[in-house]
Amino acid sequence: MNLSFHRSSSCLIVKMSGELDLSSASVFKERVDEELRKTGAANLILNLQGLDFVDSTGLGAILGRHRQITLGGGKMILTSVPPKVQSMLEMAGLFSVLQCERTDKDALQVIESPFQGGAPR
Amino acid sequence: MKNEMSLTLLCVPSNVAVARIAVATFAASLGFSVSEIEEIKVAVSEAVSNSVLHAYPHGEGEVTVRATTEDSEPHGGELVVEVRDTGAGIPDIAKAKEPGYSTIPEHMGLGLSFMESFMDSLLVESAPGKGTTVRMVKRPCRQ
Repeated sequence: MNLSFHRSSSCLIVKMSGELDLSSASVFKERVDEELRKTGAANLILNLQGLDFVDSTGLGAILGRHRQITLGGGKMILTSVPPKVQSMLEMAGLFSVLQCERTDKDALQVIESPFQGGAPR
Repeated sequence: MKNEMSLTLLCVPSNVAVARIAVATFAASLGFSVSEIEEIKVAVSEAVSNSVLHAYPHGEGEVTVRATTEDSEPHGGELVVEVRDTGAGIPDIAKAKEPGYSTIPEHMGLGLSFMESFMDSLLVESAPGKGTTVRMVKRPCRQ
């Protein structure tokens, strides 16, 4: 799995590619948590466009980041969700929990909106 | 044509991908669609992940992944996948099958639910101290 990080004004944008399973979930958690600490970002966008495979361990790692961000008063949004990842989210009943937007730009608009946005940092 | 593969792997996280890719490659010759192959990959990933996570809490151990297919009726074209470890076993299979039940933080407890949903049948045999065997069957939709 490959991760690339971009900092926007109010949030951390993580582009994920490859496979998110038992062997990569811990690396994903550690690197995202470390980047959140380093940047102080309170909101998180996970761009899943390049994600080829995810299983329940990978979904658990994504949900764990969501819990962490929302506990801190921020917002986490998934973007560019591939159809097969979307069907896994549906199977796991996560669509009611995790917000999805089409693009990073759409997600940033949601986060920066004064009415529905996340934490301002 | 009857065919069979068997793979014995050390129970380590990096072998989860080895197992699912091997079974997916084996299944690709059986007429499964791309989305069915993805479902098989998830099911194998879940089964092997469970062995890696739960079977050998105090040391090393192995997991064996066996895939077979028959062409003779009544089982023609179906894929049978067995994932077997000789580890700790499951004390309460019914409890383990409950969606959302997990003994590990940040794990969703959906592994067995996914196996059940993505394959046509699932059988779990396990006893404490005697290991676990998961047997899953899938038939191509075109049949």
